[in-house]
Amino acid sequence: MNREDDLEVHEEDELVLSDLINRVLDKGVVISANVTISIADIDLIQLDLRLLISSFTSMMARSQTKARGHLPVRTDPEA
Amino acid sequence: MAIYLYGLILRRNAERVPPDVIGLDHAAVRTVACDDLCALVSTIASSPPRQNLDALAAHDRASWMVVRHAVTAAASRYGQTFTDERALCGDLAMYRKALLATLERYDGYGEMRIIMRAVGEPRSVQAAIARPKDPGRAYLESVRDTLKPRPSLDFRSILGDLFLDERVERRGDLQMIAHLVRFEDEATYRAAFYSHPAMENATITGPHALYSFAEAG
Repeated sequence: MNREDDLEVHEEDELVLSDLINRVLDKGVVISANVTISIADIDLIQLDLRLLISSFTSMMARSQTKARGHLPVRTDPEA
Repeated sequence: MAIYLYGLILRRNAERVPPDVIGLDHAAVRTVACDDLCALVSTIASSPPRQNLDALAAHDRASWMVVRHAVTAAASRYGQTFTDERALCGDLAMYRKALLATLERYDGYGEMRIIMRAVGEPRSVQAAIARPKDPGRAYLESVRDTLKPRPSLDFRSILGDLFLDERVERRGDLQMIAHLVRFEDEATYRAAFYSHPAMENATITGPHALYSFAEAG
């Protein structure tokens, strides 16, 4: 796999991951008063970044491609 | 200890749930009957559950393992716990009518999801997560973006009657389109999807449990 294919697969992995985060946190049935995350009070995009950064190691371990040495997302100095 | 909820199915479909479904902390997922509905649950050590990517993936994977056996499930939003099964059924009773109507209406269907860039938008995942520094403005703009978004493409002209209904969500320069597709039509749906040149840079996943089409509490 050449570098362009490598980057395409990685970008697709990012999209799939982003969609997973968005749907399990923002969609689906709510029947409990004990939902851990209050969607109205949390910037989901910021939460995406925090989850991605904190779980980068496990995500790359699951990835089918080799690690590229950096996480292609913008870091937030306030995170 | 607490009961963690992954999703809901019609009770008459419970016998088709495989015995090897795994959830958070690698715990076995079981079904709990609440009248004519069944909840997909596992027992977790403490509440609230961990909030990390592995836990989110485990939550999604549990309902996916059920759906891949052609069982329609309404996915629950992440993070819902109950003290015991009685409390679960008690809370569920308040939404029984709406949930039953949804699962009956969509029985035999799964949710296919298409992720693609809005037509004319630049290729940039960064653009999808870039936002103004003011969180209040960012929230209002995200609400505006999600109000009645229209898909970039007319999927009905591409896929015909291969999907029952459609939901569209926009985040930055990305669009997420959810389609209800009959389990037996998945292969035909995928073939029609990939045969269209406009789908070259789109990503398709599923079938999933019902997320966009689940009735929220």
